Amino acid sequence: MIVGKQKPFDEIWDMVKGFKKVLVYGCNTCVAICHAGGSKEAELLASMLRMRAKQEGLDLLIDSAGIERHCEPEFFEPLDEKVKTYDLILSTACGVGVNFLADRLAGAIPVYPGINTSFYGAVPEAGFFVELCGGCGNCILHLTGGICPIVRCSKSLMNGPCGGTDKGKCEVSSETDCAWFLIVERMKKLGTLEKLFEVQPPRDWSTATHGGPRRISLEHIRAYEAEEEKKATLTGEGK
Amino acid sequence: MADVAEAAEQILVSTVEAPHDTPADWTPNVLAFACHYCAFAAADLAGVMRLSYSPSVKIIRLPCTGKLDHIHILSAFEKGVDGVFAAG
Amino acid sequence: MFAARRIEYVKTLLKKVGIDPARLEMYNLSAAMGPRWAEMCDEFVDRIRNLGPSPIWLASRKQSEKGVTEQ
Repeated sequence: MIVGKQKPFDEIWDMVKGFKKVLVYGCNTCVAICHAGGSKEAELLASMLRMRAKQEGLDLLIDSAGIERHCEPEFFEPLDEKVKTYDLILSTACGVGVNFLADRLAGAIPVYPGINTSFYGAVPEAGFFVELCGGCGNCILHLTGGICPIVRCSKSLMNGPCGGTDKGKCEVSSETDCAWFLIVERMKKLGTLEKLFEVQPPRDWSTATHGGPRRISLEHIRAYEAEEEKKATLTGEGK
Repeated sequence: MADVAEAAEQILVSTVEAPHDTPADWTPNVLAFACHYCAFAAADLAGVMRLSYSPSVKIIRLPCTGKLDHIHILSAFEKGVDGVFAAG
Repeated sequence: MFAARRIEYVKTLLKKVGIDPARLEMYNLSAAMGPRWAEMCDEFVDRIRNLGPSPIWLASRKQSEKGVTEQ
Protein backbone atom coordinates (compact mmCIF):
# COMPACT_ATOMS: atom_id res chain seq x y z
CA MET A 1 0.00 0.00 0.00
CA ILE A 2 0.97 3.63 -0.17
CA VAL A 3 2.48 4.91 3.05
CA GLY A 4 2.40 8.54 4.07
CA LYS A 5 3.00 10.71 7.09
CA GLN A 6 1.12 13.79 8.15
CA LYS A 7 2.96 17.02 7.48
CA PRO A 8 4.15 19.03 10.48
CA PHE A 9 1.20 20.88 11.98
CA ASP A 10 2.76 24.31 11.60
CA GLU A 11 3.39 23.69 7.91
CA ILE A 12 -0.26 22.74 7.43
CA TRP A 13 -1.35 25.79 9.37
CA ASP A 14 0.73 28.07 7.15
CA MET A 15 -0.97 26.57 4.08
CA VAL A 16 -4.45 26.96 5.48
CA LYS A 17 -4.49 30.23 7.38
CA GLY A 18 -5.05 32.52 4.41
CA PHE A 19 -8.36 30.88 3.46
CA LYS A 20 -11.90 31.26 4.76
CA LYS A 21 -13.60 27.94 4.21
CA VAL A 22 -11.53 24.80 4.30
CA LEU A 23 -12.43 21.14 3.88
CA VAL A 24 -10.05 18.56 5.29
CA TYR A 25 -10.70 15.69 2.94
CA GLY A 26 -9.62 12.22 4.06
CA CYS A 27 -9.13 9.03 2.09
CA ASN A 28 -10.00 5.76 3.77
CA THR A 29 -7.75 3.44 1.82
CA CYS A 30 -3.96 3.26 2.17
CA VAL A 31 -3.35 6.43 4.14
CA ALA A 32 -6.02 5.47 6.67
CA ILE A 33 -4.13 2.25 7.38
CA CYS A 34 -0.96 4.18 8.14
CA HIS A 35 -2.85 6.56 10.47
CA ALA A 36 -2.01 9.56 8.32
CA GLY A 37 -5.05 10.66 6.35
CA GLY A 38 -8.23 8.67 6.87
CA SER A 39 -11.57 10.20 7.87
CA LYS A 40 -10.52 9.95 11.48
CA GLU A 41 -7.23 11.74 10.99
CA ALA A 42 -8.98 14.36 8.85
CA GLU A 43 -11.46 14.93 11.68
CA LEU A 44 -8.68 15.32 14.26
CA LEU A 45 -6.71 17.61 11.99
CA ALA A 46 -9.77 19.78 11.35
CA SER A 47 -10.40 20.05 15.08
CA MET A 48 -6.79 21.05 15.73
CA LEU A 49 -6.89 23.64 12.96
CA ARG A 50 -10.11 25.10 14.37
CA MET A 51 -8.49 25.43 17.79
CA ARG A 52 -5.48 27.12 16.27
CA ALA A 53 -7.69 29.49 14.28
CA LYS A 54 -9.64 30.39 17.38
CA GLN A 55 -6.48 31.18 19.31
CA GLU A 56 -5.18 33.36 16.50
CA GLY A 57 -8.51 35.14 16.30
CA LEU A 58 -9.09 34.14 12.68
CA ASP A 59 -12.58 33.60 11.34
CA LEU A 60 -12.00 30.29 9.60
CA LEU A 61 -14.56 27.62 8.85
CA ILE A 62 -12.94 24.19 8.83
CA ASP A 63 -14.88 21.00 8.16
CA SER A 64 -13.79 17.47 7.57
CA ALA A 65 -15.04 14.69 5.34
CA GLY A 66 -13.80 11.40 4.05
CA ILE A 67 -14.42 9.04 1.17
CA GLU A 68 -13.21 5.54 0.54
CA ARG A 69 -10.84 6.36 -2.29
CA HIS A 70 -9.32 9.41 -3.86
CA CYS A 71 -8.03 7.54 -6.90
CA GLU A 72 -11.28 6.59 -8.67
CA PRO A 73 -13.85 9.09 -9.92
CA GLU A 74 -16.95 7.23 -8.67
CA PHE A 75 -16.06 7.74 -5.04
CA PHE A 76 -15.95 11.53 -5.37
CA GLU A 77 -19.44 11.87 -6.79
CA PRO A 78 -21.56 11.85 -3.59
CA LEU A 79 -19.58 14.76 -2.14
CA ASP A 80 -18.95 16.75 -5.31
CA GLU A 81 -21.52 19.46 -4.58
CA LYS A 82 -20.36 19.87 -1.00
CA VAL A 83 -16.71 20.10 -2.03
CA LYS A 84 -17.48 22.95 -4.42
CA THR A 85 -18.70 25.16 -1.56
CA TYR A 86 -15.21 25.44 -0.02
CA ASP A 87 -12.36 27.69 -1.04
CA LEU A 88 -9.59 25.28 -0.10
CA ILE A 89 -9.45 21.50 -0.03
CA LEU A 90 -6.78 20.18 2.30
CA SER A 91 -6.46 16.63 1.07
CA THR A 92 -5.01 14.05 3.41
CA ALA A 93 -4.95 11.50 0.60
CA CYS A 94 -1.69 10.41 -0.97
CA GLY A 95 -0.12 12.43 -3.76
CA VAL A 96 -2.18 10.48 -6.30
CA GLY A 97 -5.35 11.62 -4.59
CA VAL A 98 -4.24 15.23 -4.40
CA ASN A 99 -3.40 15.26 -8.13
CA PHE A 100 -6.56 13.46 -9.10
CA LEU A 101 -8.85 15.72 -7.10
CA ALA A 102 -7.04 18.83 -8.32
CA ASP A 103 -7.56 17.64 -11.92
CA ARG A 104 -11.19 16.96 -11.16
CA LEU A 105 -11.73 20.44 -9.77
CA ALA A 106 -9.79 21.85 -12.73
CA GLY A 107 -8.56 25.01 -11.08
CA ALA A 108 -11.89 25.99 -9.51
CA ILE A 109 -10.61 25.33 -5.98
CA PRO A 110 -7.03 24.77 -4.85
CA VAL A 111 -6.17 21.33 -3.42
CA TYR A 112 -3.30 21.26 -0.91
CA PRO A 113 -1.55 18.20 0.49
CA GLY A 114 -1.92 17.44 4.19
CA ILE A 115 0.49 14.52 4.19
CA ASN A 116 3.84 13.64 2.73
CA THR A 117 3.44 10.57 0.53
CA SER A 118 6.44 8.48 1.42
CA PHE A 119 6.64 5.08 -0.27
CA TYR A 120 5.06 1.75 -1.21
CA GLY A 121 5.31 -0.31 1.91
CA ALA A 122 4.05 -3.05 4.15
CA VAL A 123 3.09 -3.15 7.82
CA PRO A 124 5.24 -5.79 9.57
CA GLU A 125 3.75 -4.74 12.90
CA ALA A 126 1.14 -2.21 13.97
CA GLY A 127 2.50 1.31 13.66
CA PHE A 128 5.61 0.27 11.74
CA PHE A 129 5.95 0.64 7.97
CA VAL A 130 8.77 -0.45 5.69
CA GLU A 131 9.47 0.31 2.07
CA LEU A 132 9.55 -2.86 -0.01
CA CYS A 133 8.88 -1.81 -3.62
CA GLY A 134 10.07 1.09 -5.72
CA GLY A 135 7.45 0.78 -8.44
CA CYS A 136 10.16 0.71 -11.12
CA GLY A 137 7.93 -0.93 -13.72
CA ASN A 138 10.32 -3.77 -14.55
CA CYS A 139 10.23 -6.37 -11.81
CA ILE A 140 13.25 -8.59 -11.13
CA LEU A 141 12.09 -10.18 -7.88
CA HIS A 142 12.20 -13.62 -9.48
CA LEU A 143 15.94 -13.19 -9.93
CA THR A 144 16.68 -11.94 -6.43
CA GLY A 145 14.79 -14.31 -4.15
CA GLY A 146 11.86 -11.96 -3.65
CA ILE A 147 13.97 -9.16 -2.18
CA CYS A 148 14.12 -5.95 -4.17
CA PRO A 149 17.65 -4.57 -4.51
CA ILE A 150 16.37 -1.41 -6.14
CA VAL A 151 14.64 -0.13 -3.04
CA ARG A 152 15.94 -2.29 -0.19
CA CYS A 153 19.59 -1.67 -1.06
CA SER A 154 20.52 1.90 -0.11
CA LYS A 155 22.45 2.26 -3.34
CA SER A 156 20.07 0.33 -5.59
CA LEU A 157 22.91 -1.92 -6.61
CA MET A 158 22.03 -4.50 -9.22
CA ASN A 159 25.10 -6.76 -9.20
CA GLY A 160 25.75 -7.68 -5.57
CA PRO A 161 26.75 -6.00 -2.32
CA CYS A 162 29.07 -3.05 -2.13
CA GLY A 163 32.17 -2.99 0.05
CA GLY A 164 30.19 -1.40 2.86
CA THR A 165 28.19 -4.48 3.76
CA ASP A 166 28.89 -5.26 7.40
CA LYS A 167 27.75 -8.55 8.96
CA GLY A 168 24.44 -8.33 7.17
CA LYS A 169 23.92 -4.61 7.85
CA CYS A 170 24.16 -1.61 5.57
CA GLU A 171 26.92 0.97 5.89
CA VAL A 172 24.40 3.77 5.47
CA SER A 173 22.62 2.81 8.67
CA SER A 174 23.23 -0.06 11.04
CA GLU A 175 19.44 -0.39 11.38
CA THR A 176 19.11 -1.28 7.72
CA ASP A 177 19.70 -4.84 6.57
CA CYS A 178 22.02 -5.26 3.63
CA ALA A 179 19.64 -6.25 0.84
CA TRP A 180 22.30 -8.23 -0.97
CA PHE A 181 23.14 -10.16 2.17
CA LEU A 182 19.42 -11.03 2.47
CA ILE A 183 19.25 -11.96 -1.20
CA VAL A 184 22.21 -14.36 -0.99
CA GLU A 185 20.93 -15.95 2.22
CA ARG A 186 17.44 -16.33 0.79
CA MET A 187 18.64 -17.79 -2.50
CA LYS A 188 20.85 -20.27 -0.64
CA LYS A 189 17.74 -21.47 1.17
CA LEU A 190 15.79 -21.62 -2.06
CA GLY A 191 18.68 -23.51 -3.65
CA THR A 192 18.82 -21.07 -6.53
CA LEU A 193 22.06 -19.32 -5.72
CA GLU A 194 23.59 -20.22 -9.08
CA LYS A 195 20.95 -18.04 -10.75
CA LEU A 196 22.89 -15.03 -9.54
CA PHE A 197 25.75 -16.01 -11.82
CA GLU A 198 23.63 -15.68 -14.94
CA VAL A 199 24.55 -12.55 -16.82
CA GLN A 200 21.62 -10.20 -17.17
CA PRO A 201 21.24 -7.71 -20.01
CA PRO A 202 21.51 -4.02 -19.12
CA ARG A 203 18.42 -2.93 -17.29
CA ASP A 204 15.72 -0.97 -19.10
CA TRP A 205 15.01 2.02 -16.86
CA SER A 206 12.53 3.58 -19.28
CA THR A 207 9.73 1.84 -17.36
CA ALA A 208 10.67 3.76 -14.20
CA THR A 209 9.94 7.48 -13.82
CA HIS A 210 12.91 8.27 -16.05
CA GLY A 211 10.66 7.72 -19.05
CA GLY A 212 8.11 10.35 -18.04
CA PRO A 213 4.66 9.77 -16.52
CA ARG A 214 3.59 6.15 -16.90
CA ARG A 215 0.28 4.76 -18.08
CA ILE A 216 -1.25 1.34 -18.27
CA SER A 217 -4.11 0.85 -20.68
CA LEU A 218 -6.18 -2.33 -20.56
CA GLU A 219 -7.63 -2.43 -24.06
CA HIS A 220 -10.14 -5.24 -23.44
CA ILE A 221 -11.73 -3.29 -20.59
CA ARG A 222 -11.64 0.04 -22.37
CA ALA A 223 -13.12 -1.46 -25.53
CA TYR A 224 -15.96 -2.96 -23.52
CA GLU A 225 -16.63 0.34 -21.75
CA ALA A 226 -16.64 2.20 -25.07
CA GLU A 227 -19.10 -0.35 -26.48
CA GLU A 228 -21.43 0.07 -23.51
CA GLU A 229 -21.31 3.82 -23.86
CA LYS A 230 -22.12 3.58 -27.55
CA LYS A 231 -25.09 1.34 -26.83
CA ALA A 232 -26.34 3.73 -24.18
CA THR A 233 -26.23 6.72 -26.56
CA LEU A 234 -27.93 4.71 -29.30
CA THR A 235 -30.85 3.64 -27.10
CA GLY A 236 -30.95 7.20 -25.81
CA GLU A 237 -31.40 8.46 -29.37
CA GLY A 238 -34.02 5.75 -30.08
CA LYS A 239 -36.19 7.19 -27.40
CA MET B 1 12.12 18.14 49.83
CA ALA B 2 12.66 21.63 48.53
CA ASP B 3 13.58 20.15 45.18
CA VAL B 4 10.35 18.22 45.03
CA ALA B 5 8.30 21.30 45.82
CA GLU B 6 10.19 23.26 43.20
CA ALA B 7 9.65 20.57 40.60
CA ALA B 8 5.95 20.47 41.41
CA GLU B 9 5.73 24.22 40.95
CA GLN B 10 7.46 23.99 37.61
CA ILE B 11 4.96 21.48 36.37
CA LEU B 12 2.13 23.83 37.22
CA VAL B 13 3.59 26.73 35.27
CA SER B 14 2.73 25.99 31.68
CA THR B 15 5.52 26.11 29.13
CA VAL B 16 3.20 25.43 26.21
CA GLU B 17 0.63 28.15 26.71
CA ALA B 18 1.28 31.85 26.53
CA PRO B 19 1.17 33.57 29.90
CA HIS B 20 -2.17 35.21 30.58
CA ASP B 21 -4.18 36.84 33.36
CA THR B 22 -7.00 34.87 34.83
CA PRO B 23 -10.26 36.84 34.70
CA ALA B 24 -11.91 37.22 38.09
CA ASP B 25 -15.14 35.60 36.98
CA TRP B 26 -13.47 32.44 35.66
CA THR B 27 -14.10 29.14 37.35
CA PRO B 28 -12.54 25.90 36.21
CA ASN B 29 -14.63 23.84 33.86
CA VAL B 30 -13.57 20.24 33.93
CA LEU B 31 -14.94 17.31 32.01
CA ALA B 32 -14.62 13.76 33.28
CA PHE B 33 -15.08 10.73 31.07
CA ALA B 34 -15.95 7.88 33.38
CA CYS B 35 -16.37 4.19 32.75
CA HIS B 36 -19.81 3.02 33.81
CA TYR B 37 -18.46 0.04 35.74
CA CYS B 38 -15.63 1.53 37.72
CA ALA B 39 -15.13 5.27 37.91
CA PHE B 40 -18.78 6.19 37.43
CA ALA B 41 -19.68 3.70 40.13
CA ALA B 42 -17.01 5.26 42.31
CA ALA B 43 -18.50 8.69 41.68
CA ASP B 44 -21.87 7.26 42.59
CA LEU B 45 -20.40 5.88 45.77
CA ALA B 46 -18.87 9.26 46.57
CA GLY B 47 -22.37 10.68 46.24
CA VAL B 48 -23.89 8.00 48.45
CA MET B 49 -21.20 8.62 51.02
CA ARG B 50 -22.09 12.32 50.84
CA LEU B 51 -18.51 13.31 50.12
CA SER B 52 -18.19 16.79 48.77
CA TYR B 53 -15.90 17.48 45.87
CA SER B 54 -15.38 20.26 43.40
CA PRO B 55 -18.57 21.28 41.54
CA SER B 56 -16.45 22.13 38.48
CA VAL B 57 -16.33 18.51 37.40
CA LYS B 58 -18.94 17.46 34.89
CA ILE B 59 -19.14 13.75 34.31
CA ILE B 60 -19.85 12.00 31.04
CA ARG B 61 -20.60 8.34 31.43
CA LEU B 62 -19.15 5.94 28.92
CA PRO B 63 -19.95 2.23 28.67
CA CYS B 64 -16.21 1.71 28.98
CA THR B 65 -13.23 4.06 28.68
CA GLY B 66 -12.39 2.04 25.59
CA LYS B 67 -15.20 4.01 23.96
CA LEU B 68 -13.26 7.22 24.46
CA ASP B 69 -12.07 8.46 21.08
CA HIS B 70 -9.43 11.05 20.31
CA ILE B 71 -12.00 13.32 18.77
CA HIS B 72 -14.17 13.36 21.92
CA ILE B 73 -11.30 14.85 23.88
CA LEU B 74 -10.35 17.32 21.16
CA SER B 75 -13.97 18.44 20.73
CA ALA B 76 -14.17 19.10 24.45
CA PHE B 77 -11.13 21.35 24.31
CA GLU B 78 -12.45 22.98 21.17
CA LYS B 79 -15.58 23.96 23.06
CA GLY B 80 -13.39 25.75 25.61
CA VAL B 81 -13.26 23.24 28.44
CA ASP B 82 -10.29 23.90 30.75
CA GLY B 83 -9.38 20.33 31.56
CA VAL B 84 -10.38 16.79 30.74
CA PHE B 85 -9.69 13.58 32.59
CA ALA B 86 -10.66 10.04 31.93
CA ALA B 87 -11.22 7.61 34.74
CA GLY B 88 -11.68 3.91 34.51
CA MET C 1 -5.67 0.13 28.37
CA PHE C 2 -6.75 1.71 25.12
CA ALA C 3 -7.94 4.92 26.74
CA ALA C 4 -4.56 5.52 28.37
CA ARG C 5 -2.81 5.13 25.02
CA ARG C 6 -5.27 7.47 23.31
CA ILE C 7 -4.83 10.04 26.02
CA GLU C 8 -1.06 9.94 25.63
CA TYR C 9 -1.49 10.52 21.90
CA VAL C 10 -4.00 13.35 22.31
CA LYS C 11 -1.55 15.01 24.69
CA THR C 12 0.90 15.30 21.81
CA LEU C 13 -1.83 16.79 19.63
CA LEU C 14 -2.79 19.33 22.29
CA LYS C 15 0.80 20.42 22.58
CA LYS C 16 0.86 21.13 18.85
CA VAL C 17 -2.11 23.49 19.11
CA GLY C 18 -0.70 25.28 22.13
CA ILE C 19 -2.74 23.67 24.89
CA ASP C 20 -0.87 22.38 27.91
CA PRO C 21 -0.99 18.55 27.94
CA ALA C 22 -1.30 18.78 31.74
CA ARG C 23 -4.95 19.69 31.14
CA LEU C 24 -5.56 16.08 30.17
CA GLU C 25 -5.09 13.12 32.46
CA MET C 26 -5.97 9.48 32.88
CA TYR C 27 -6.86 8.04 36.27
CA ASN C 28 -7.44 4.46 37.27
CA LEU C 29 -9.78 3.53 40.07
CA SER C 30 -12.25 0.85 41.04
CA ALA C 31 -15.95 1.00 41.82
CA ALA C 32 -15.22 0.86 45.53
CA MET C 33 -13.08 3.98 45.51
CA GLY C 34 -15.64 6.69 46.27
CA PRO C 35 -13.36 8.74 48.51
CA ARG C 36 -10.54 8.48 46.00
CA TRP C 37 -12.88 9.85 43.33
CA ALA C 38 -13.64 12.92 45.40
CA GLU C 39 -9.97 13.39 46.19
CA MET C 40 -9.02 12.95 42.56
CA CYS C 41 -11.55 15.51 41.34
CA ASP C 42 -10.30 18.09 43.80
CA GLU C 43 -6.73 17.32 42.88
CA PHE C 44 -7.37 17.76 39.17
CA VAL C 45 -9.48 20.89 39.58
CA ASP C 46 -6.65 22.36 41.68
CA ARG C 47 -4.25 21.64 38.88
CA ILE C 48 -6.55 23.32 36.35
CA ARG C 49 -7.04 26.28 38.67
CA ASN C 50 -3.27 26.68 38.71
CA LEU C 51 -3.07 26.48 34.94
CA GLY C 52 -5.86 29.03 34.55
CA PRO C 53 -8.45 29.18 31.79
CA SER C 54 -7.74 27.29 28.59
CA PRO C 55 -6.38 29.33 25.67
CA ILE C 56 -9.49 28.42 23.70
CA TRP C 57 -11.76 29.79 26.41
CA LEU C 58 -9.72 32.99 26.56
CA ALA C 59 -9.80 33.32 22.77
CA SER C 60 -13.55 32.90 22.49
CA ARG C 61 -14.00 35.32 25.36
CA LYS C 62 -11.84 37.86 23.55
CA GLN C 63 -13.82 37.31 20.38
CA SER C 64 -17.18 37.83 22.07
CA GLU C 65 -15.91 40.97 23.80
CA LYS C 66 -14.79 42.31 20.45
CA GLY C 67 -18.21 41.49 19.03
CA VAL C 68 -19.88 43.47 21.81
CA THR C 69 -17.71 46.55 21.32
CA GLU C 70 -18.23 46.44 17.56
CA GLN C 71 -21.96 46.45 18.02
